[in-house]
Amino acid sequence: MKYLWLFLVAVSVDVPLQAQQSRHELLRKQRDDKRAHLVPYAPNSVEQQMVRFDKAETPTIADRNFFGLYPRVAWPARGSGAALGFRYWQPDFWGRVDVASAAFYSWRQYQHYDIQLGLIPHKERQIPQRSWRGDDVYELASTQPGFSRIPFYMTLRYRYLPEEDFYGLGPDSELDNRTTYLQEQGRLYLTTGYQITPHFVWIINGGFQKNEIRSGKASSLPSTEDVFDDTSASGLSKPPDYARWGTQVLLDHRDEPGNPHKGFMIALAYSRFDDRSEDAFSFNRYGLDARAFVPLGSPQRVLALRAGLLVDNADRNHTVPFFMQRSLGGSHTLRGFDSFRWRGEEIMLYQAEYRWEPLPFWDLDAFVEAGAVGGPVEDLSFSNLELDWGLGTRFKTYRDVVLRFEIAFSRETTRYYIRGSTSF
Amino acid sequence: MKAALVLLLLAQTFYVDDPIQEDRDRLPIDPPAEIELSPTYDLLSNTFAAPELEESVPRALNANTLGEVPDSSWFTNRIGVRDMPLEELTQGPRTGGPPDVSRPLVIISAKQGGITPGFTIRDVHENVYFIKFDPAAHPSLSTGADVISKNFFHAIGFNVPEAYILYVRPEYFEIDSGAVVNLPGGKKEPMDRAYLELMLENAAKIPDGNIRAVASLLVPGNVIGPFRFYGTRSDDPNDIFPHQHRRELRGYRVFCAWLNHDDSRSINTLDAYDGHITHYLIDFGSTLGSGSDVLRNIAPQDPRAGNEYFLDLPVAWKTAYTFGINGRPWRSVEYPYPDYAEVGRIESKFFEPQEWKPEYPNPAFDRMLADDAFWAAKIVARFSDDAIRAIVKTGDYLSSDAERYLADTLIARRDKVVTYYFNQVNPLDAFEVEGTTLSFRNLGNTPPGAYLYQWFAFDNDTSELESLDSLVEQAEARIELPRVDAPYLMIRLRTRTQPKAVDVYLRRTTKGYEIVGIDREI
Repeated sequence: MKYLWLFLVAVSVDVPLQAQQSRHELLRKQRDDKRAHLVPYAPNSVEQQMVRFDKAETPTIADRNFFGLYPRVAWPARGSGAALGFRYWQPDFWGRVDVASAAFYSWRQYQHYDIQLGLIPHKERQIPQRSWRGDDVYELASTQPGFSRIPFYMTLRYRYLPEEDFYGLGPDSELDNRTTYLQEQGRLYLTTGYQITPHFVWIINGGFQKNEIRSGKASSLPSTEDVFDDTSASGLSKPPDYARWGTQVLLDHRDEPGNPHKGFMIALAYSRFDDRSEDAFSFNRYGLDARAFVPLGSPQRVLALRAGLLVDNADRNHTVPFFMQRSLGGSHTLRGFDSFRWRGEEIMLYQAEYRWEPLPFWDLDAFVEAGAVGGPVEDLSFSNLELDWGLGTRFKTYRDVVLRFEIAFSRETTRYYIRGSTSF
Repeated sequence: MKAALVLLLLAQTFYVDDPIQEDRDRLPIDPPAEIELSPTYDLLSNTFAAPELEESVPRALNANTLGEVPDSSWFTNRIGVRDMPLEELTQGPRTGGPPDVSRPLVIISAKQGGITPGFTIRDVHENVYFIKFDPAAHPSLSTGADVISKNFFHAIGFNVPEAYILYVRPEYFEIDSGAVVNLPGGKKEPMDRAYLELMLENAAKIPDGNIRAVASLLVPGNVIGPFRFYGTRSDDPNDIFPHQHRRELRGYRVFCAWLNHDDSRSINTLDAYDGHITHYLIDFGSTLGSGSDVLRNIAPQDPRAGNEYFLDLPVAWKTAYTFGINGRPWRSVEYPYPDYAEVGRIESKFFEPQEWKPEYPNPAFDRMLADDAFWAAKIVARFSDDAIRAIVKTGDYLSSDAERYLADTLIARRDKVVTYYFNQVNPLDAFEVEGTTLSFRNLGNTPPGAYLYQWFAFDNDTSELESLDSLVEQAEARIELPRVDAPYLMIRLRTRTQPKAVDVYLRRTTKGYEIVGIDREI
């Protein structure tokens, strides 16, 4: 039908049923008719709420705070489960001195308290990294370049970890030997560093660490001392306190450390642990963490690779306490195995992830991992490599993974993860 | 009732004043409500709850019987209907003049919304301007794009604010005691000199140390918020055509594709009330090769922009289930960046106008029909190479190579736009009656081969057609009118290479026949 649009004009407005003399009259009548039936503009309630949200009249959850007190949900230690608590952050509290603090209590009764004071690295007025970053194998390279001034700050920290898993040391530990112990740990240390180039930083820290080991609180599992003794779990009866210092260098060429699509990172770490109580548990720790992110023809396809090596070298006639030894297993290392499943003085880890990105804020990933532990009894060996694989999906911002869902399979078990951080 | 209405209307296809050149939609109205639009709501509603497309999308409702857009509060025909001298093209919407920097510019508020940092300032003449800066890492990028695009869209016919490239120094500014800074979390604090200096420190400077900015003059009238690309304003009696069926808003897609205005969403429009509502397009900082990064900071255009919606779910699913192998060819496009850093990322080789996408679905764009696009492409075609080069020059780029690259790119993109959309309908146009002859031109690139036509007598009361002769074929673009005395004639024209018809209606007047209607088969 020709001039269909005339028909549509007619039916889209209620035109009085009389012949029009001119187009202008026709349009005028339509306007007069609308004028007689005007409706005030009224956005729906969803839109009204979103207007407020966009204008930030209502602070986002992440920004809500009460004089610097920020409510948070966190996972303060491996195996802790989700913890409720708060972080306190007041940049430039006294002149240039920053104050940061945290207190968390998890549903598994893990507790974490800390306070930091000094020139704490942070971006603009954002909350700094949590103080427990860098504690674990997977966080060897936690310190990121980019601080605008030389950091120098003190950290005082107390942790109560009531259900730490222990399966024995070395590659021959048995899944059936799962026990738990309670660890209390207090630390006081100073940290400083220097940014040599925009991608190269050097960190030094040192201080004291006090340890307590007691019976585990998990009612369904035996306590560690019921299954192991000081021979099979050194330091079990007399956990040592330490004076410790260490240094770390980090060469970071990842495009965005929390959500890399290309680049690489190499971290080297050395720590000295001096036993201050028994003179029987002093050791040196050496660590290497190398990661590469290779786009496969497109930034939407990334092959993420990681190799890690950690070696604890005890002084002559000394041993490394079992609870100080690092472990594999859990949401960041060998994901197909339980947390702390493999523990030893020597650790090697290889991870490969294929990440593909349907949307900028949505990743899918498939991964394979291999890792092994060794120690005084049995050296690190490729023949002891444990394998696992899995699949996952992540929701993320440009800078960080916000939520990660994964399923991982190994010869021992199948594990599911919901986490608020990336794997590596 | 409706059937009777239709019959009555169809009984008169052409009115005495057709084709109208103006839609008189500036009738006085009561002050309408101020609208606040949530960008997030706009994104989500248009992505996940977009108005369903009609089974058969209707032709644009506000076009006149020639298929042109009459002048209105939305659009003023400029380059589409007359030759515009280069001086006029480069003058663009500017009439008032830039801020007077001989006296301090008083900052009255920090800029809200949009992706560029800036202020609202008042000069000594009480003129209010919005000042925006380029980030230090990207000199000229957004300010150049803003001014150039405003000049293009003004020449096309849209209402845009006046915009001036400005070079300033921190000492040019004073802070009004009432100026506040909006902090994250909804807090506000008085603006101080430290904030000003921080912002200016982060702004791009030219070699002499001056800071480059773009100053947009506040539009006349009271600002009442953006307009939407769907429906009408319920409190504006002048607004009778659903926006998704306005030809200039459907055709806006073609202009945006040409100029890579992916940020062509409601938030970058503005209505102002001055007895009636005038509809503006604003904020062209994310056009051409300028865009924003994922943190919404000004940056060279994201390669995704123009190629994929922000939330392109079909593409995302395909990528998901093909393990990422599903190609996104735009990811492999090579841009001469940073060779021409000032113009950012824009190119013409990969660009295909029909594939171009805005940041998220736009109801008017989704309803663009071939005749809407043809109308827009005709306007695009009116920009000569010289006109494009002259307008690009208004970006005041430091690098003449960058300026040349951008102009060359827009010329190549123009040619693609015109070639594609002129092929979607029969591109015979410029119909004129001279005495007893109808003449016309083939706007398309494809030679017509021959013209096929047939004359009809047209009954304006019943819309019935009566054939006056059989189909005729001829090579010339001049056709003798039939020797009849009908009040209305219609000629149905095709070419050997374009089977779609264009129907041209002629009305007898005391001076002979005149063109009264054009209807293109789509």
